[in-house]
Amino acid sequence: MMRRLLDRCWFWLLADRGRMLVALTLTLFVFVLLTSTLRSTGITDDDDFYAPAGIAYASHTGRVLTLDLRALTRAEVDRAFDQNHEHPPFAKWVMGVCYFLFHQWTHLLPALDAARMGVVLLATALAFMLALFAHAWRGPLAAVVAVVALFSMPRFFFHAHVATLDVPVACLYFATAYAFWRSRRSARWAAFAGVVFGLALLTKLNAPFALLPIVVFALVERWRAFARPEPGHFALPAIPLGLLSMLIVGPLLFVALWPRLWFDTIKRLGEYIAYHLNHYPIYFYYLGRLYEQPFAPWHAPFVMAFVTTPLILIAAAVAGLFGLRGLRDFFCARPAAAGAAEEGGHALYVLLHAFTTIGTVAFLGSPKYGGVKLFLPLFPFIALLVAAGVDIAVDAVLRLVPRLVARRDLVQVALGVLVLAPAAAVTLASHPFELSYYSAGVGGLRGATAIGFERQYYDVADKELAAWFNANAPQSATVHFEPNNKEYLKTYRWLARDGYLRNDINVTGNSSATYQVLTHERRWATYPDLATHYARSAVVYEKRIDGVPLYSVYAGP
Amino acid sequence: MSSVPNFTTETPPLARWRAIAVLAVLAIAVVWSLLVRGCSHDAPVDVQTVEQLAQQLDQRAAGRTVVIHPPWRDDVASLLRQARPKLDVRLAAPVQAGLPTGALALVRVGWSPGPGAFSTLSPIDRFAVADLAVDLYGTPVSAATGRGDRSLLLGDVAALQVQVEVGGRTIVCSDLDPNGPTHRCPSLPEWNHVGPHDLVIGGQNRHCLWAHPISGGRIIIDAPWPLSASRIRLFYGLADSAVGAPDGQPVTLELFAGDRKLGSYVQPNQPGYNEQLVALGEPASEKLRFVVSVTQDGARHFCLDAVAERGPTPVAPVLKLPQSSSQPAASQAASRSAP
Repeated sequence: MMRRLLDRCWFWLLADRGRMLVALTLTLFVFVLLTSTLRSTGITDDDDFYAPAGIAYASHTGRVLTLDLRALTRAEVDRAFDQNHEHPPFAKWVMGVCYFLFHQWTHLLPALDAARMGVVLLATALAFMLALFAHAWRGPLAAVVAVVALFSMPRFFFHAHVATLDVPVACLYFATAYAFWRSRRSARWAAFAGVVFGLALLTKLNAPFALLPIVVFALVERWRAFARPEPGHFALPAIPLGLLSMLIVGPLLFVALWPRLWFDTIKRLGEYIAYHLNHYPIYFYYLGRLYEQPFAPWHAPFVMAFVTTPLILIAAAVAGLFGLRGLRDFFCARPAAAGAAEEGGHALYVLLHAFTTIGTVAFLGSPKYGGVKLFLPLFPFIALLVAAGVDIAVDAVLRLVPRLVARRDLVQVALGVLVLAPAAAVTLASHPFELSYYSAGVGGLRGATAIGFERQYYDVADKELAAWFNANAPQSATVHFEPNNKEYLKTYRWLARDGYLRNDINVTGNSSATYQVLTHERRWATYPDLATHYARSAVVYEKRIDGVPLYSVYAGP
Repeated sequence: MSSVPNFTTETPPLARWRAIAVLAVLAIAVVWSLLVRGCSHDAPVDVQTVEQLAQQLDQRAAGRTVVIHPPWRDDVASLLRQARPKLDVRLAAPVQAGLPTGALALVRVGWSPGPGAFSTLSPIDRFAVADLAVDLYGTPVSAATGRGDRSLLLGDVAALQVQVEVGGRTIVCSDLDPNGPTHRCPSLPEWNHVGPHDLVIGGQNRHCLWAHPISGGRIIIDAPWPLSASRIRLFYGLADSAVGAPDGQPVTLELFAGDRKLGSYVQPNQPGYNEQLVALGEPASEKLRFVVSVTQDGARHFCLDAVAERGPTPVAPVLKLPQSSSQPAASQAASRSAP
């Protein structure tokens, strides 16, 4: 009976509609996971930039939809879209819409959490597409492993909760990659690829780089078409429809859906590009050295990705590289090996995107800061390699122990749990301090701190600390943060507004506040002096992870 | 799965080895993770271990400042302060020219993540109490170099006397910042202050005294304590981020001992942290004065430091700062015009 039930389930999973079922189940799982951990996630300094801007954009859209045509005048457009105009509006607009949906109209969530639901929804959409891609590549186990692996990466998990642009661009980047992949056999997907690429361009500057691996892949896939049909002639392969659509629809959509570009288009486009070409340096503490300008060395993104991803996932991804098959069949376009060639194509496509997403940050002379946030689009591709790695490990076990072939299901589950359980456990254990997570590869946070990595960043307004203030602070208490008080002035207003902090507690620029909080962030030049200054003060509350202090609260002055 | 090989047949050796490699990678990751968890030599120190360390320091470093190295082991510093409240415990800045070196006991904290944790060493063996076997740059310093007692500028910044002469006025910068020993000058721009900063100069972090000159003005910094040294080792430079400023003007640093002008040093708009050994001849007892000036300000993020030294003047420089690849040329470019 049980066996028949399992067989039926297996058949269902392997059928085409089963692919959708697996993807939807995983999507639901991710949505529940992210929403259930949303309220405990602290507030980053970026939240205060993007959420208000998104609310302004969505308000403007509301005016347009209610036929308030004055909203289309230059003055009104600029009033709404001048906020945070250094980044395109799409992800912020989604946050703004979610603010109205989940807070303003329904009161389901506090204001900022409602805006952050926009990021949660985009992360959920990413899970859906990732599951579909992984399933098509290596089957249902790969879909499960890829999705669970992605959200078992602590840094990615953290960013999937906060109102920043990095997970949204990871989502839209992957959507672009996925749409192009599907467009190879579908004109509808080709048209869709252009739209998705346009939305990706409208999210963050990582998006245009998606063209690089796509062009390279298309060239590799069609290199035989360069062959001369006859002496003296040179043939160019046909441009893939999906790519054509991306090149035409994408930029059009970029201008059409960014109202600020409707006026002074060339000038403002120039400003946008110039801003990012000359991005101001941001402190980055890396291997015991502070970088501002010149920026950190090329290897910093690779090292950061390695040390902040659970070791077992890195190992599985490496195992995935060991066992990638079909690359030669794909290059040689062997008709007899169509299945292997398709698998090789998947592998090459994933590798090209993985390298591009991190390589653009590593090698293009752009600023490097904020841990791994600048190249979050890398991690879905790492998750795919993890999935491939587990699949390949299953094959390896069966190859070495042939008598287990009949128990393949069991081996799959066992290896899946072996790889995913430790990663998922450390991610949940580190919540909501995922930014302080470092893998066993460097000895955890203790080892990372000793080697010279930053133990946190983003000036996170921690809700545990707010709860401690609520319980312990006297009436009308004031709090002063060091070394970077100005960000907390803004984020603590959100905490109070959303009911996480008593309204009588205020952050002040005055260093004689009731409480002084020293965040142990060594990228600030003033940190050593501050640490010495506060050394003899009594600590009244402290957050430590594995013994390493993240912040200390002193009763001041 | 995408393909199901026929495992019942003999598999090629390469495929077999590849299977072994795949499983080995996973196994290593699992074992490594288990080893590191809770076993690391980097574990935060416990009270008992720090008490042992404090007892060592009682014997070997009585009356001296204790510097914890590497500087991020604040867990060690914190517990050591609790164990010996009267002990002056500091975290070493990664690069800190002119710390009061001779008065220091350096505690080096070892680390070894991973299986190195299975060392047979007892916890106390993590620490090495040394009489500054290496300086804070990691450069060996032998006792014979006679490296001096303390930074003349950073040792007690609050006690420095700072004034700015500009537009025929003399402004006394006596507004000490409550957050730190920084001299602020009333009615002058905020950046026109004098105080300790960490700047990237010549590609390295430098802890030094910020003295941003003002157009046509002079910053005068007096070290009010009598000088007792036979030479001064002077450090100065422009922050790397400021060197790129277009039309950046050279900054002039003049050094006086009492009424005697010891030297005038010009820092051009070039990177590098320059070091000058200024011989005083006989051990001098005058007070030192540093004067910083520029014809036109604009991103003149100038920083300096000075260390007093005793003993005979060595023929060759006794201390070499780590240089970035571009620094030697820049150092040579910095011109010196002796009085």
